Amino acid sequence: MIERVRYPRICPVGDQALLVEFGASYSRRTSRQVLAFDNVMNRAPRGVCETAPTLKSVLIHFDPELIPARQVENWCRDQLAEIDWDTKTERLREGLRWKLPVVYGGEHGPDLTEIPGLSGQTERQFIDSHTSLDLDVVCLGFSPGLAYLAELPKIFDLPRRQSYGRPVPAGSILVANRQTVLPATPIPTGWRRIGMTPVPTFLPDRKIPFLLAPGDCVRFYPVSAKEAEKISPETFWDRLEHARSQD
Amino acid sequence: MPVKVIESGILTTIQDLGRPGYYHLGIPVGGAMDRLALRSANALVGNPEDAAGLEFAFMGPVMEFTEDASFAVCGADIPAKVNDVEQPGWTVIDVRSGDILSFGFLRSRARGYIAFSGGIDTPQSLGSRATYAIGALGGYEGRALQPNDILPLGPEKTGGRAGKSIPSNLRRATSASTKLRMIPGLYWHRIVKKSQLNFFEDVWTVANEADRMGYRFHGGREMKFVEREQPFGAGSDPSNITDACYPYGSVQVPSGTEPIVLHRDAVSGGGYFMIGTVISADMDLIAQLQPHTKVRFAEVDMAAALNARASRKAMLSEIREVLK
Repeated sequence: MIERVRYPRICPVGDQALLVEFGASYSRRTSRQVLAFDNVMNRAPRGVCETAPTLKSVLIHFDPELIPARQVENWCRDQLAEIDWDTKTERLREGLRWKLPVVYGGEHGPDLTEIPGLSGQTERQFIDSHTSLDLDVVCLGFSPGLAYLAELPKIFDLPRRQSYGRPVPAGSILVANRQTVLPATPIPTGWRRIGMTPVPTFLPDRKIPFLLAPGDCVRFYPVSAKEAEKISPETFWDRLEHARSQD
Repeated sequence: MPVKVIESGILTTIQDLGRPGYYHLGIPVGGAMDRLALRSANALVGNPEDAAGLEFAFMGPVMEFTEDASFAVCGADIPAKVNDVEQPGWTVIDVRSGDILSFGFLRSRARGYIAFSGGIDTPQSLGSRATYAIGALGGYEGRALQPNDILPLGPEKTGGRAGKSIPSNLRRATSASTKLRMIPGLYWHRIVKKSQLNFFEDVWTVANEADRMGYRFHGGREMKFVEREQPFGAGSDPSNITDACYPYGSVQVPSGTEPIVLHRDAVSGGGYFMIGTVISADMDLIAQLQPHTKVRFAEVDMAAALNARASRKAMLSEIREVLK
């Protein structure tokens, strides 16, 4: 028996949530549809409390005392039927474009030494590809403010470790399964840690506490540990506040 | 500055009803695992039901009152003591400055909730006082309590409630026949029909990994998966999916062996498939299961889930009525 699922699909998630899924896996197109649909959800009827976009789906929390699940489902179904999602995605708001410094290898990226064995690339080649791409911030999640970045070429199709090691620090640059993630807090992980950015992406006391948001674009550039010390995170955070105040 | 921690107990944290609205940033809703117990304790001492109190697991803290106050303990069956004299549970107790609150041994269930008159008045973080230790948010400096922590209480709104009590029929509790009701869905289609049937037939035992993030169960038969093409971004195990959000109450089964019901501090997403969601009315009960307890899962539909929700709500109204 082979799994067969049609997308987009709406599935119930207990008695106070629904999931609208646009595909079985991430693709740029799927992800853009997810973000466009998440925007549309701003107009959802009363009783819909919160939505959360992910790589391929939108989770919708509602209060069943205020709105029946059936009604949320029908509303979503109508939106899905009425809207041409590919046209809609063209009108998505331009996110911010970030250039983030990364110290690769050494104590900042101890798993980089495993890369030649896993991918057939030298460490240098691997860093060159990792810094030559504009990556989309697809969603935040797993842990507070952890950013999922896509999409990486096939050489980044590295297996995750089967078990979790000691927690990695906030700012770690992790790779696996053709994605990079950037945790904003310390997390346990099975992903490979290849570097570290000196720019914090979560400052809880800021008005906007997370630096990155879905729809943003990130390009990494390599710096030495010495250069990293001279980088002022303030310039990044000031830019964020300036940009958001223009919205 | 009326309550001082002398001994911390186990995983004693400040909790309220949580911080909804930040899930899209990776921050779970958090808050008391047994919400009805916290609401009951707050209602007893005359607090708003969403006031912050303490949650502890298996072993209570020892605390000294440095001002007159009142408190109530709900949830686990564990005797509270004032100056070593045992006090009834689910009841308002008045204390004087200098009195010591301590606990005897746990008799049943798992988590106790202490509400203090006025509520714990630590600063809010993202709209809530709930401790989310993994993200170091809320609570007392974002962590579980330690000896010598001093908990500020808000101004007391009501008094003269000593002796008020919640009758035993309104103390919701787990029993030997506890069934956790689940609505199948999400990636239910990933396992074969036989495994779907087995899941509800098998007896599952609460594992030692049973905490604010989730409850793991073992003892049931291993699941068999429907074949598929490995989706982009998913791990190679058949239980892996392209990372998705993990809703509160959802049941994930890494490698198809031991189901984990995700509770209030669960990570907001990840790469394991989920077979369904435990209904909201039963999530409080999970918080009161001790490791090694045997339970079964029962399949229900939305209508049953809403009925269960309504009866839980009716119970809460009755509690409010009794305490008027």
